[in-house]
Amino acid sequence: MLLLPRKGLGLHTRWIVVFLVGTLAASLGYLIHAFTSSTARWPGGSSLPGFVCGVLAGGIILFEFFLWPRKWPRVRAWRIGRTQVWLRAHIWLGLLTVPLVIYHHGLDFHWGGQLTVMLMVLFWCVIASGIFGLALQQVIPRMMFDALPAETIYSQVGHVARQNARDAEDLVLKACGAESTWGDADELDAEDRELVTARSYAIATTVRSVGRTQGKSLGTDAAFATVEDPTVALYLRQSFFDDIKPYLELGHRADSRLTDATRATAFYEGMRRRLDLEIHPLVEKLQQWSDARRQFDLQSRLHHWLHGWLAIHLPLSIALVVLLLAHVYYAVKYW
Amino acid sequence: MPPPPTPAKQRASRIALTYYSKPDALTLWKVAAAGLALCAALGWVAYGALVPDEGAARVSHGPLCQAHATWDTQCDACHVDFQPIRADAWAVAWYKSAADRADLDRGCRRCHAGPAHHAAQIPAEVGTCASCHQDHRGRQADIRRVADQHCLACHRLPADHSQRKPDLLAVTSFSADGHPEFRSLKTDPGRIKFTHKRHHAAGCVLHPDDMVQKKLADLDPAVRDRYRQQGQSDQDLVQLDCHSCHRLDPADATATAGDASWAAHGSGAYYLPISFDQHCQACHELSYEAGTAKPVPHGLTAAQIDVFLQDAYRREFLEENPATLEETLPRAVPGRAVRPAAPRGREFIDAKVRQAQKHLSNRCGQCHYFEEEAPTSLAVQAAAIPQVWMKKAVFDHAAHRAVSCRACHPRAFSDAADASVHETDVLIANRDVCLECHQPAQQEATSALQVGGARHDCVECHRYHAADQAVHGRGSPLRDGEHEFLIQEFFNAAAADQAR
Repeated sequence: MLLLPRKGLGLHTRWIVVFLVGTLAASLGYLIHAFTSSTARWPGGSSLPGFVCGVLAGGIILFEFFLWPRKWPRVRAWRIGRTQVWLRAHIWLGLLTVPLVIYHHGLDFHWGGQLTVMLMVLFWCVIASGIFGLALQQVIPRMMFDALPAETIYSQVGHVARQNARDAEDLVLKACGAESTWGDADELDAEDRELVTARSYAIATTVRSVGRTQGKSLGTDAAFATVEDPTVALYLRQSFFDDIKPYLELGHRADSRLTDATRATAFYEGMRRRLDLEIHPLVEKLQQWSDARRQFDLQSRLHHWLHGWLAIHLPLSIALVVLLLAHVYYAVKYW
Repeated sequence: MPPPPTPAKQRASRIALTYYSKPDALTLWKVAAAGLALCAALGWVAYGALVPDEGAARVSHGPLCQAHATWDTQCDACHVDFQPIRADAWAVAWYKSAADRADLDRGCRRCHAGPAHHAAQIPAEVGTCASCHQDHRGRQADIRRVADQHCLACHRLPADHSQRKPDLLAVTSFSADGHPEFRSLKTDPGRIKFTHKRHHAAGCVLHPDDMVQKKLADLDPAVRDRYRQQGQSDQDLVQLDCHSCHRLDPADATATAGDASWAAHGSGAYYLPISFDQHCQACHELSYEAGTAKPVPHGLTAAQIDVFLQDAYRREFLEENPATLEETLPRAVPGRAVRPAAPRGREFIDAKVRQAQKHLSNRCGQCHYFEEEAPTSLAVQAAAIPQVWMKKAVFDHAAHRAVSCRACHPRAFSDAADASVHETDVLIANRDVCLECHQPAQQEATSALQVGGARHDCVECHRYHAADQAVHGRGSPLRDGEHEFLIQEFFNAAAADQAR
């Protein structure tokens, strides 16, 4: 999901205005107070502008943090505002906390003791990870849209890959005149067993293109021609079980030559040269599955980048909120 | 062979419909990290709350200064819970009355008096102690070194910040444009007929061709070496220098004067007071009879001198006429008054006393002014030599001992073109000489010399508390706190509060 639209800032305009007006108001209030008061230091957190900025920043941080519990099913049922609005507010109000926090701790940039230093380090880490995540969300979805026509659900990558491997094995064994062994495999659950038992066809995802539009469709492929020559059949089986199947199942972890697209193309060209023309559609199918597996690997990597920052942003935010509450208590107690 | 038809259920079952109910590895990792962060943060805060010393160290904005280091982990030694301590805290506005504001400083007042700056200051403009003396800036921080802005807040426009609307000039910085000349140096309040030109010249003469020139041989042998310059014989002229009379270290003075009270005087900041007995008597002997060694103690009032002379001449008369003590009065005859003894002794004594008074009057008048001019007047005006010239500022001679005396007191030297010949001359340099060093470092326009660079902030010379008693020392009662504590009370704020 793109949080910032590709063309123009559109619906973000209102929030950008909030951010700019908030920053300007905080700056004016702080600087006017600083240059009209008799204190030798920049106003700190206990001064009027510093205190107001601190309260606002603290309130915003708590609001920002509430984005997480809002995703909990029970809280989501309350239907508090639209998700898009929450995300826009999360971005721009989160950025507004930067000037507010700076004016809260004062322009002499004395961060104080351990608690406030920890708080500031966490704050900047949260802001940095948030901006990093925002940037990734502008780039990676587009990249995935362009480069991953075979994209599937991230959590089902392994499952789909195993299904593809089973389908491929079915077709290869039938082409070699042998029966599939999947129906007896202990590791299959009942549902999978039903799917693969004694069938002479494969249900497979196929990437199709029409003009510049790519997409995948689920199709059923019948068994291909049978290899008559035992030597060629042995070659086909060895190629499949030694190179293709491990890669289809494990992807880059198989440490296979098929991981690299160029080497994979060379590999399948070699197969085509060794096999009869009737078997070439099977080779084509195997190559498609290999390409899909490569896309799954890329999808996993991109998915980790796209969502992995949250595994840093969220824990830091939780720690930030805990220390923020402690800071509020101690700051008022010893201000 | 065409592919067989595929059941839609089989197509749909490629991915389990309930896949979303099982979190993926990334989600699990995220939840685990979130839980870990929550526990770590709560644990860190809880540990600080349960272990007071640790908690104080975490909340503290930095180590206290060296003088307060003992209370580094005792927040309540200075802080009162939920009460602001700094004047720039907006919540101070809640404390409107002077008593309420003073209460904010009660942690400081345990040990420090913090006397007022000026009687005419406006109470509402007086901040809390911590508004100027900000601690938590590390062990080496000098919290007495207050920034200029605190002073300039009022002294930019002093009339607007005083109840008396004084005719004070504005101060914006220590510079030729930003600071007035020193008011304390406008006049010399001293009443001593003394010129530095005469006393700095060889032989102590005002003009080189004066007939009476003082030689070392003219001085009492006991003090002669004190005034002898290197290589001089007794026949050489007396050549005084600054250190002949002005001593900085009490040890120097006691070595020659034996006056132990001087040892307590100074830390080297100010020169020790000039004393007749130590610095003048060698040349200015104070005998009450010309040509004799019959000294009168210096510093007596006219009445005390009279008593002293009477006693001295009575003693002398009796020593010369011991028979007087044995003389008997004639028996009294009823109806006739007893004839008093012959007034011979009284006449002698009175005549001697008058003569001595006249002589002493000349001697005293050599240096002193009289209360009233009369031939035998001995009532002299107080010398009134200021021991500290700067009434509103402090100066440390010891810190300037590497600088020649001539740099700041050029007119005190006899070879100066404008050497001082009047006792009313003020010979202390004013602001502009101070500015040669006490200004921001800069390169001189006419040479490659770098000048300035010495401290030039307000507190370098001025003190805020009891500002008109700038030289009061560390032992002054002005600095005492409200209470005296036992040692355990002193180190424990709670115990100290109970003691109060």
